[in-house]
Amino acid sequence: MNQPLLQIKELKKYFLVEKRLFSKSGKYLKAVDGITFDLNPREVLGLVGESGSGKSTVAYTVAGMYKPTSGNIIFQGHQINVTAVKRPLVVKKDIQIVFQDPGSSLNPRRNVRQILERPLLLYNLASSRNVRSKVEELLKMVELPREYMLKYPGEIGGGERQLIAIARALASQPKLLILDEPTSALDVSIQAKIINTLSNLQKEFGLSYLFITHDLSLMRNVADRVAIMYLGKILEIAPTLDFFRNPLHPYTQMLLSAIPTIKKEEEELKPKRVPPTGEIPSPVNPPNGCRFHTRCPLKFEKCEIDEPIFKEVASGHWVSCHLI
Amino acid sequence: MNEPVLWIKDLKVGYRIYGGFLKVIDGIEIKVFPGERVGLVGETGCGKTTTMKAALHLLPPNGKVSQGQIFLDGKEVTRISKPELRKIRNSGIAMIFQDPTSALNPVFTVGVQLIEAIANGREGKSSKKENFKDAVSILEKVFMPDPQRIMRNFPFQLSGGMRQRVCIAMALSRAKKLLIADEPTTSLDVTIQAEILDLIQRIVIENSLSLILITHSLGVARQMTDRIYVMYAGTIVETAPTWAIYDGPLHPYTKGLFDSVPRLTGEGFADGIPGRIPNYLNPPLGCRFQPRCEQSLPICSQKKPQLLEISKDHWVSCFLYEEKRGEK
Repeated sequence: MNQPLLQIKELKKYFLVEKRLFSKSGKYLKAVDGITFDLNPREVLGLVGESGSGKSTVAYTVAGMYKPTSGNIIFQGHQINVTAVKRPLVVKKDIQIVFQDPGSSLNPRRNVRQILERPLLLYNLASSRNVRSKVEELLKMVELPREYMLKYPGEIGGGERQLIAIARALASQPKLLILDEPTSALDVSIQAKIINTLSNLQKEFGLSYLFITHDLSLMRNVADRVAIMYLGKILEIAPTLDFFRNPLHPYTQMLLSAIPTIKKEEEELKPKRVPPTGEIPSPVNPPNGCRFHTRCPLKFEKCEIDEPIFKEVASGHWVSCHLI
Repeated sequence: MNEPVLWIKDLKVGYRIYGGFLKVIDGIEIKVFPGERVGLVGETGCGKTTTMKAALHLLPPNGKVSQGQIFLDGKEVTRISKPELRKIRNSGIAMIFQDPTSALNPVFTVGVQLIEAIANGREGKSSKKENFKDAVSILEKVFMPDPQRIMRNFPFQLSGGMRQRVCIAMALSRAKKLLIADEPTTSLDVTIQAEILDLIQRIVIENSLSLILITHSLGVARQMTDRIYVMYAGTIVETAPTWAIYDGPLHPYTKGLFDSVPRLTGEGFADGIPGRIPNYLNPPLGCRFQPRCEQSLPICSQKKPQLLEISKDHWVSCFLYEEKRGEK
């Protein structure tokens, strides 16, 4: 098998939330608490979780916006446990990110042309002579007319803005694109267009996506593999088909059974209703043992004491639960 | 036939802004019967919330009802004085808002706010003790853990789901006839959403209330309602019993919307609907969906389509169906 494009090993990211003056210790928010996964070339990995599960922190740490507290991020064999500023240019160019809200991730005072020129010139992918035609190419890639070059982000709709953000991320010809809830601020009729464009681009350029989202039905249609995060841990990871046909972790079953669907055929694919109970506990004080035991309908004594091991139950299907 | 709890008749609503007059709601008709659960479905900016705000006199100062009538319980409330309005609001109608954080006052405890709602709803005077007891029992009804403690908490000390429960408790203390829920779960996670929806469902059925659920999620609407109104740019484009719409949507907009929803069956989805919602300063003269419609006819840009009954109780406003009916 080929070498994975991205390897995450025991990654942890803690944030200091409370510190007394003159004291060395403090309270930490354990946003990401030891997760391990690989991302293969040309693969779409969906990282799914509720708010507060730490999925965005994973995205930001891989993108180099945070320095990991411990653990390793290995990209194409190179260790890159540093923030983006300290990464070599070639690595920076290869890892790009698209944020949730294109309204705040695009500079409102620059027009589309200036926004798209920036990465092209920064990474020496265009000279001042051919930069205009390169910008046109980028717009064509995301199926926007070239007239958009002179528009400002405020003049275009949310969906089109997100397409500009995608074009900007693709300008440096990255290998890995991190998508942090790229469509959750958009209406479903606009989301469809963006997701289909992203899928086409992924196939055309052989990109890898780390797709952060809370929408499982979307992942069913987009991802090759799906991982479920809860309180800074990955509870289950599996190839998409296997994941939806045979969800093993009680939390996965709870999430799947809670999805509102629009067709009868979909109802049949949902696990029997596991009534959801309680809410996600605070990551400052995560529960002992299994992180999920406070909400788990199937918990027993052991769950409160021992943390379950992350084990492979079928080819590529990993779960961390004492029941399995 | 029963008298509708809420009847919105040929309503037009707009907002005065610096650049002119935004013609948002363009002649819509909605009827909600006792015990009926109605879904108002549409995307951002289509006027779902404006419609309900107009019905309850909650429009901001620049909002204006320019045409139409609103009946609550058979009584016209379109133009009404403040004291009368208060009486009507007391008569058993309550609303749950999208964002429980801004619906609650941050500087008062949950208890104070809940008791205020209960005391105002009472006829005559009542003792503090009685009100407190009622507030606790209502919090119990929404399955709030440890209601005594919650009464002393400030909203920021609660999680999003808990806050929404407080809002539901407040609404529940007043709702005797009609509960309006404006995107009650949009800001919540999917597991919490399921809990809150179950709770609303239960309250509506146990107290035989009518429900108006405003939502952009077709999945939520399917689970919660008997009848659906699909809104686009201030018009009702289609209305039918819930099962009928999910079996076979008719309007090109409804179809486009359904085709864009990602399914658990994983068959992919269409490219969505090109373009965006029209500018309300200068909306299209004919069908408001015409600029985005792939099947539009010459007549669509000139005349407004009327709602037509295509099959039993399935109404759609589109010239495509008018033509077909003509052929018959």
